[in-house]
Amino acid sequence: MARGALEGLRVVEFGGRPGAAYAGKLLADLGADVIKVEPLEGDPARRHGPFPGDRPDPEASGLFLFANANKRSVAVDGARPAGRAIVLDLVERADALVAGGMPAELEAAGLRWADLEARNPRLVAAVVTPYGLTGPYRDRPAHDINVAAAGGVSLGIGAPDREPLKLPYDQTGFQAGLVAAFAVLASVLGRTRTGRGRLNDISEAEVWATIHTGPGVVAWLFSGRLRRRSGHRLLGLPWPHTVLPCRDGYFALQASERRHWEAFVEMIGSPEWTRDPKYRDRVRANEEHGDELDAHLAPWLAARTRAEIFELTRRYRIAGAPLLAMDEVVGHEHLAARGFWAEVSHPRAGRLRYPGAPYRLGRTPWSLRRAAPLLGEHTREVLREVLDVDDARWDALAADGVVRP
Amino acid sequence: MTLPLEGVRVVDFGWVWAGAVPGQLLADLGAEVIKIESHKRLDFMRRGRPIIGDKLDPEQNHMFHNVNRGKLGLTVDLNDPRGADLVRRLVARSDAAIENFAPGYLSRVGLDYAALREVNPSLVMISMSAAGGDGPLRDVRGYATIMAALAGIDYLVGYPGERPLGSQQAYADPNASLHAAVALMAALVHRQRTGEGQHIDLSQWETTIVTVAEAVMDYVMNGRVAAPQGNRYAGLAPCGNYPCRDADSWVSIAVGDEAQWAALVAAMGSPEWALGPEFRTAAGRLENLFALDRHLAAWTRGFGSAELVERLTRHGVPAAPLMDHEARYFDPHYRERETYVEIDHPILGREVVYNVPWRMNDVPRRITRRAPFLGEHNDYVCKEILGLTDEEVARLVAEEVLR
Repeated sequence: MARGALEGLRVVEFGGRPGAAYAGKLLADLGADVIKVEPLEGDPARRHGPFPGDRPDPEASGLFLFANANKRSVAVDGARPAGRAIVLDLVERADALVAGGMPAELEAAGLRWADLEARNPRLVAAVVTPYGLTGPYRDRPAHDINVAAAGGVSLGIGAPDREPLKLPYDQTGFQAGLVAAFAVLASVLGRTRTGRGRLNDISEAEVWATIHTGPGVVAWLFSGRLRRRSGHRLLGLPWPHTVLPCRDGYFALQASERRHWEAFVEMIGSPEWTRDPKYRDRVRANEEHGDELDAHLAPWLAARTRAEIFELTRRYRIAGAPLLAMDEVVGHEHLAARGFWAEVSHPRAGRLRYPGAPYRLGRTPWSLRRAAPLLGEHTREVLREVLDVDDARWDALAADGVVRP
Repeated sequence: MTLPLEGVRVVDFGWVWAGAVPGQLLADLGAEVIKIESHKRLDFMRRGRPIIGDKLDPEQNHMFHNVNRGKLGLTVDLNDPRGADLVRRLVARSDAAIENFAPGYLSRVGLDYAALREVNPSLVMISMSAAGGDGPLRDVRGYATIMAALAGIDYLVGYPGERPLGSQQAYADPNASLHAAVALMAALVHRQRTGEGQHIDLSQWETTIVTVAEAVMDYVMNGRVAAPQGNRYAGLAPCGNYPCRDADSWVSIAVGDEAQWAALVAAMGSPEWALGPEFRTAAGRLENLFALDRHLAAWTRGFGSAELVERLTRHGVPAAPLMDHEARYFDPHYRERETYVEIDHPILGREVVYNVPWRMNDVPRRITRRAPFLGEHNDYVCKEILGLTDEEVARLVAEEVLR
């Protein structure tokens, strides 16, 4: 098998926050040796699910299996000084640390930057916390829904007169994890020149507030425009930007540019209503007459299937797509043709299909080399290999309950 | 201290949102990113709603200003062979290239990876098309609307038991951008060690599917097709956005363990309903989520959002207000961390852009350069990097190869 781009890069992953786990996965899938440090009771994702047959099993949680493939698991009791020392020794010998949790938790584990840097000046660290390591909200506890709220994402999703919605599952983990992995790799690249590592302080809320919702701030300052939620339509852009029912499901349509609008009008047979002057400013029409416009379009959609409409939108070169449910996504012929899905066997969960490479590196491919580790599966191997822990020392650690024999 | 990517030169064909952000991130970290634009087909954002007034102005779009800050601008007609040749020569003097054109376009103008590798064997190039470089839907268009629908995430946004609403924002765009930035950086790390360049084929659709991996796993394991999720998330009860006293004012509250539940009960003053047997265990709270949400909403309505968040977080309950642009801009936490920064702009005077998305301990967090005007750095690129004479540049401008 060809080598991964990050082969030889040793990464320690610490803490139960999903952002650290996804950062670790991004690096592991490209060949890095990611050592996941877990508490003796296991990473929280092991208790999350989904589970095969809905029977809870810490070795078969779907979220854990997905996010931790290609990693090695080291389980230690971090509350004990000997356990904490093992974690710090591993970090001392690593290229990078990705850690996630509350700032106080990380400090309690001994992961203070001044100490880490003193022991390993080349260390590159990415620390993922809800609000960052500085600022007044630093110690506020938060789950995904809370940082999505503070980051400005949720207020725009949902019906105008009902409670706002977050995005499904834990999207904060993905977005913060991506920024953490990027920060690690940029710092590794820069380290060659300076010889020094770096602390990257990643605030989950800020990841939302910048890359995702940041651009609107300047528009608001000059115009007072705030984003409002509007059910199945997206305001602020020209109509149509809408999700509507058709014969066999739902279809998403968008025709922002003028040429797309003209093609759209032609596609639906140039009905009279598309020339009504009150719809001429389509941004305003989207805000003021959205329901009316959707109702005009409804019969045309109701007479057609998603496949028929998708075919038409592709022929007329406008943005449109069927809303696919998960069985349709997993069974899609395009993804099969690209070989997107990856399979690997796991001793407890069996052989499963996983989301595969989101990108193909021509020379150093993404790869699924091994399934997610069992809890502590590599503790002894890693301690021997990285920390030179001999049998006598291992037996003593096991007897003390710092590691499981 | 020097920024981590100083000395890296990037030719950035990326346009609209998804294609522009990877170059922006690299520029934030000190890379010299040269945005390639055509005056004959403007970036969609340059044609979008202006920041001031209603008149279209290619130099005045808030999205464009944010996602292209830090870059230099070369405006050149790639459909003209002389323009394409100019860019090929620029790539020969660069480290990386980013593009999100529809598959096939760069081949037609002689700027695909096969052609660029000829002039720069160690080039790292990423193509971030909608559906990847091959497969039956390879020609599908690259709008976030399409990605979110095809990836299944749109189907999962909505109130439980009701119709899907769609994700209502271009979530797929920045998500694809961040995946691109990670892949590009990994390839640059490999190049730094080995000298080897390569091409990366990213599918925006596939990067979006990854974000609903939990639904994929549930389907693969149990054959269950996930429905609209509302604000629910496994392991958390309550988990929701609850109304406050003022109009459209909401606070998010989530409880993930017994300590957080006890904190919430204490913050509410231990009302009788919360001490009932149906809410005593996590399983009970999950089973009675509807009733729990109603009780909680009845309580939160009595507060302004700021006082409610203060009260909840003081007790250790995960809670945060739902913030709009205005709330975030004035928020003391974002202020202290300089999440948003002011930079000079010739048209706007000063403008606000989002800062580098995270903080580094050894370099200041700041944005030093606004987004380029059309063709603003044509002279720098053509003369200083490529060594063209004044006469040669003037001729290319006269013949509309350069703007």
